[in-house]
Amino acid sequence: MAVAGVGTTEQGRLPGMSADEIAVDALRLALADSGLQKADVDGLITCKSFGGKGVDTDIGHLAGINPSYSASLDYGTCNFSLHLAAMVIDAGLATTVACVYGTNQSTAGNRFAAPAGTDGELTTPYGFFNIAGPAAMAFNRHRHLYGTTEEQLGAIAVAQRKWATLNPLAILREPLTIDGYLSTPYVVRPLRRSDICLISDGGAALIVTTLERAATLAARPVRLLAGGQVTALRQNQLADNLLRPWLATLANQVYPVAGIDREDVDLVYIQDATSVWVLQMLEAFGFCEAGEGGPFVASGATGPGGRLPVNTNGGQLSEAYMWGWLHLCEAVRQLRGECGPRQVARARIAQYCSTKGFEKGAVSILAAEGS
Amino acid sequence: MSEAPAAAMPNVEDPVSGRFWREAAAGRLSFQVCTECGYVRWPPAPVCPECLAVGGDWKPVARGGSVWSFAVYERAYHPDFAAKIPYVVALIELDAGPRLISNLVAIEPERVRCGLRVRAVFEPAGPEAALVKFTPEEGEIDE
Repeated sequence: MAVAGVGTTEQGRLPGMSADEIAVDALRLALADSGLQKADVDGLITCKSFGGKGVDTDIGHLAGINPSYSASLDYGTCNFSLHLAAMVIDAGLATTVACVYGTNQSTAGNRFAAPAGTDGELTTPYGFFNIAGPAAMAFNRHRHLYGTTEEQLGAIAVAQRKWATLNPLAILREPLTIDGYLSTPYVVRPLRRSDICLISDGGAALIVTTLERAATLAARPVRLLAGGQVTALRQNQLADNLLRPWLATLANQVYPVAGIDREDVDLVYIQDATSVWVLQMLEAFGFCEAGEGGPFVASGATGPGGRLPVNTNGGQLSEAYMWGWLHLCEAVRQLRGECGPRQVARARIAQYCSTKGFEKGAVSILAAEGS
Repeated sequence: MSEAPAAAMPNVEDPVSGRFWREAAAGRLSFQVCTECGYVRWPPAPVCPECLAVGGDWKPVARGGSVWSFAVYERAYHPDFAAKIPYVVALIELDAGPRLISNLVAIEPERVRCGLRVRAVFEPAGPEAALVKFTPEEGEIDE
């Protein structure tokens, strides 16, 4: 399988556009990138967005297409959409699948004052709102176990901002220093605003097809070497669930399937609802030892010029909040060598890690064609 | 994600979980206990997540537990909490098994730590319900 095209709209505030219009605009851009016509798309996989938008039948109607196969996923992170697309093609249900997402959650007024877990009725009486709540708990536990500091946590937001200053698509491009980070107020202690993802409008789309077909198209193909998923649907009935110990099973599984070693990974993308997720994933996949995530990020390893570039788009902390979709688009563009001043030299293999709440995890390994 | 979540009051009418709040109003920390395998269930559910037996009896359990971790809210995401900030939300591991999201009370946020031993207390919330909150066990906090 391969990604044969990506499309990203302007990110930020897109007043006057519905979520589905934004999604279709992203589809148009992805088709143009791949050189395909919309009639070539025989599979459509969408991701529902804020306000119940983004349903496949609505987006297909708006885009004027009649694909053989269509479906919607209730949640993003894009790994789940990408894997479903690959399975649909593998099963012979379609040959060319468009994965599409669009949201107008900023202009539509999503304030993220939502319950922090899936048991909202049981936890809102205690004021447990926003993803920052469980993230702060996960960080405090990490600090308790390993002595991780707020300065180390802040290094994640600082490094991602450095990448974002090099990314014209990014919403936040003014430099952020560690002193500047530490001088801002807490939101949910010890997390600050820069540790929590943006709220923004935007769209993204990918075209997935077989490697053979992708090789005949306009854009340089990016191969999907392996994907993996894991669930923890019992959530807090499991010990230490906010630390997501089950992610380790993905690490054991994905590199052998991809036929690579972890050391072969040139670029890492981590869906970052909060900075704490970056800390967790770096350790879960063994890029550093358990408990060493703090010193690892504080060393500058993940920023421009570092030995393990992470979230070279700026991530959801600085680029835009697209439920992980922009991470995958950025990985594809890096592997195609199209990223200008933030391009990582000789990048051949990228890893994209994501989570859905505290109940699912997924990973994809992507490779530049010819690697 | 909804713009205005329900007010910060428990739903005592919920057919599955309402009993939890009513038990608390009577001064009991009660959970569904599976009649087949004895698993102490949280969150409330019509089926045991261990053995799939239907039902379960609400039974009181010991009120002690420890703080797995915590978060200090400095911002009110809902107007009902504007007067309460900063407040502490914690994940409590009860000795009886369940892991509960709750508040820590009668402790300064700066003194909260992982592993702190706590005990359930009941805070009335309307005529029929109480919230289950937690307070440090005696001797846990240096005076």
